[in-house]
Amino acid sequence: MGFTSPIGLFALLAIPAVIFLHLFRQRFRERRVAGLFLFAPDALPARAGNKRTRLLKTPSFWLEIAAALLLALWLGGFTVGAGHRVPHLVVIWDDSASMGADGVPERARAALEEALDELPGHARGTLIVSGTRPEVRIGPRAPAAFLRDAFDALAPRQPQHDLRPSLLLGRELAGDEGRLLLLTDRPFEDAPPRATVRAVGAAQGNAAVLSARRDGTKVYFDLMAFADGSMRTRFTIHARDRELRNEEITLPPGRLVRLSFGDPGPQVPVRFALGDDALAIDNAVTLLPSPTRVVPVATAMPDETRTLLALDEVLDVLPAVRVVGDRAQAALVIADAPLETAPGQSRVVIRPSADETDAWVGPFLLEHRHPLLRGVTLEGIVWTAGNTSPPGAPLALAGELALICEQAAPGGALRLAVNLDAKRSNVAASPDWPILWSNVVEHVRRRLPGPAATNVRLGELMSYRGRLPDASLVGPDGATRPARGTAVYTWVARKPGVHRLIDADGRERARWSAHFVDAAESDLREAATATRAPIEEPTGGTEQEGDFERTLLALLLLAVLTADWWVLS
Amino acid sequence: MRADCARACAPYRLVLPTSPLAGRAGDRLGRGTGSSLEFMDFRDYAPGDDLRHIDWRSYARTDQLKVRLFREEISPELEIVADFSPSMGSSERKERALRDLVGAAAHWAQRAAGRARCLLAGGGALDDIEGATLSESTEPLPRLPLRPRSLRVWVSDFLFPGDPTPLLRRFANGAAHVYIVQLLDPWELDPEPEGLLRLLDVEAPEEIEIDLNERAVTRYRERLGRLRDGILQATRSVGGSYACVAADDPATMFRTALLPQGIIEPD
Repeated sequence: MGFTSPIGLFALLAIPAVIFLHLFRQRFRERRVAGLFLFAPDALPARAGNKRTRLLKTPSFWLEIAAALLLALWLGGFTVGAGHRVPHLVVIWDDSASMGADGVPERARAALEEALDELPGHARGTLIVSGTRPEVRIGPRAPAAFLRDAFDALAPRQPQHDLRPSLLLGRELAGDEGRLLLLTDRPFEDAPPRATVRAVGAAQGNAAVLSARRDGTKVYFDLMAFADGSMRTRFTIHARDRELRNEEITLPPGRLVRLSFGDPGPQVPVRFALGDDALAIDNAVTLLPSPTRVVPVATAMPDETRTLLALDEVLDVLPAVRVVGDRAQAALVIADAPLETAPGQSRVVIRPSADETDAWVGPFLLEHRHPLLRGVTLEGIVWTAGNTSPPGAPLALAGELALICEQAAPGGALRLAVNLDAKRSNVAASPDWPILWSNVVEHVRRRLPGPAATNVRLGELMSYRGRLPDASLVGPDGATRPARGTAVYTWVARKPGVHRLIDADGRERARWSAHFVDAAESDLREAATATRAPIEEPTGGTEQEGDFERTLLALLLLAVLTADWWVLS
Repeated sequence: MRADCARACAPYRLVLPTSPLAGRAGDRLGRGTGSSLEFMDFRDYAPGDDLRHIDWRSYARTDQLKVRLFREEISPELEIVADFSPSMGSSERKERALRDLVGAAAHWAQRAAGRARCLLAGGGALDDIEGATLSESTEPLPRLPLRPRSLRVWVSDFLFPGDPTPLLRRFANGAAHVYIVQLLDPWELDPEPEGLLRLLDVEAPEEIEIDLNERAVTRYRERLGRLRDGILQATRSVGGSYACVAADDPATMFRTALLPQGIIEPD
């Protein structure tokens, strides 16, 4: 409900006017009667001049009050609900990180206020926050005033992304009558003709951390100054709470500068921060220790076969692999016969599928899209296999004979059947063999409990594998997000800083560090302040808003006046 | 009298009182002596008495001349006092009903082989009922004296303030029987809420403004009820008959008001 012309509500003064008139001037129908004395005790007080009399709540009185009210509503441009003719402003907020640069939020706020001030009080508003998946933050068609409150909560952190999906969504929500307002920090020419583009940025120099990594011995940080000249700034490095470095540095314009330092310890988090500049979000990075994800592997085959397959050598060269004797402790079991495995335990069975074997030298057909065969070519290989295909989905074939098949297993475990007669093959001697096992081990590693990675970029997933009922993720600002799922929990990193996974008992089970890295957003040199007025106006202008209500009010007013005339006559 | 009123009168006759009446010679037994066949009393002979009425048997036994007296036979005399004041013209229907009632009463009197005399309240004789016009009068009773022992009908709305008992006693004084017919317009009898009204008195330059709502109507009905009760009590105190009639067509008035109240009866 709203009023397009609130000043018209002054017409409500007609209501006391009607009451005043009824107090001082009443209309009486005349009737000749014989027994006047029988009515006399109920006679109204005699009037003299314009003295006020008792207010009579007659039908005429109520009708005239109603008429005055309807008139006021009509003049005030009364509208009800989110009618399709109510002015509608769809604001598309460019949520890329550069919108958080110095001065930009203030100018964006001013632009929004300017747009809202042009709208009547009952206007509707929609706020779309841009991103790879645009998000309708307010609305659709919420009261336009809600945009102000929502605007204060905006915190642009996203990497550079295409604004067109957001504009497309905005255009859909605006329909033929709504107005579009794109708030960004640099000129944008690809906006719809009906959109007003308000670029509220300003060209500024900015230094940013473009990447950070640690390899166990050293920590590396790549820096760049996005400026027309060299930028002098200060950086600090902290290992936990201990400051390791606090130095000034001069960054040449547009050139990558790599800083490397000795790793203070594999389990020590390292925080790197640049001094204040135009954009704060790209100034700091925290590197957490990478999770230890050793894959325990067990073999169940004769030594001869294991030697033929060179399994000991392969497993020895693969990183983060530990050979265990107890099969129950293994995440991966390599066997020459099908074995019972525990739920979630992966298994690779290597044996010919039949007593009769054929030797194949190619050509081999490989499912290269499958991660297990990534980098595998099988060139120059003699592959002797049983002449029947093992069950499962074939990943590698020789003619119609399946050489490697993946079988379904509960819990996401890997079940691989390798149709291979090791004695009559040279596969183990080929370069593909360790590649294949590397792929298998990494495939299993990804299914190990715990976080897959602890240092992520904003927008990436923070995932945890394992069963943690009632766990929650605590963000850098203390906000919590519940863990939803059964065995794998994932969250999109939206805020820079350290996120912690807390289980139901309050214990910390994992942590991730999210940091912003996007050179395109850190480069503020293209930012500018500009306005592009809409090229075409909405088909439904505000001039026609509330027509239905006004017509209805006019008809009601006419009906009430007619009824009043009829009552009085 | 209008034809439809005459037709409506036909099935009825006036209920006459059981007590002897007074009047000119006729076929109804009077309260005095006369020449009917009904023996009434003896008295001493006086010169000039009709010799045919001397009781010779008594003369033979007592040697005294006795004259047998017989009940007289009279014709009932009906005096109709019609209120032709402006208040009876508060509506055309009421005025029409007044003329019908007066005409009907005269008609029933003639049917009873009697005589009817119409009198104007506050005036003299009313010769032409249909041609009479409403006029103001200061006196509710006729200026002409009412005949003793006559039947008297008073048709009025009796819408005047004050106790009606003294007036009715005056009217009933010397009458054989009185019929009080209170004629009211239906609106006067049972008004509906009409909102703001300026009520003008039909007989005086007086007016009041009123919000005729449910409450006011209820209170009016209560006051009218008390007025009617007063008239009824006063009528009973003089042994008369009372009927309150809502102005309507003659047949309806006779059937719904006069017949139930015992003023008329099926012929």
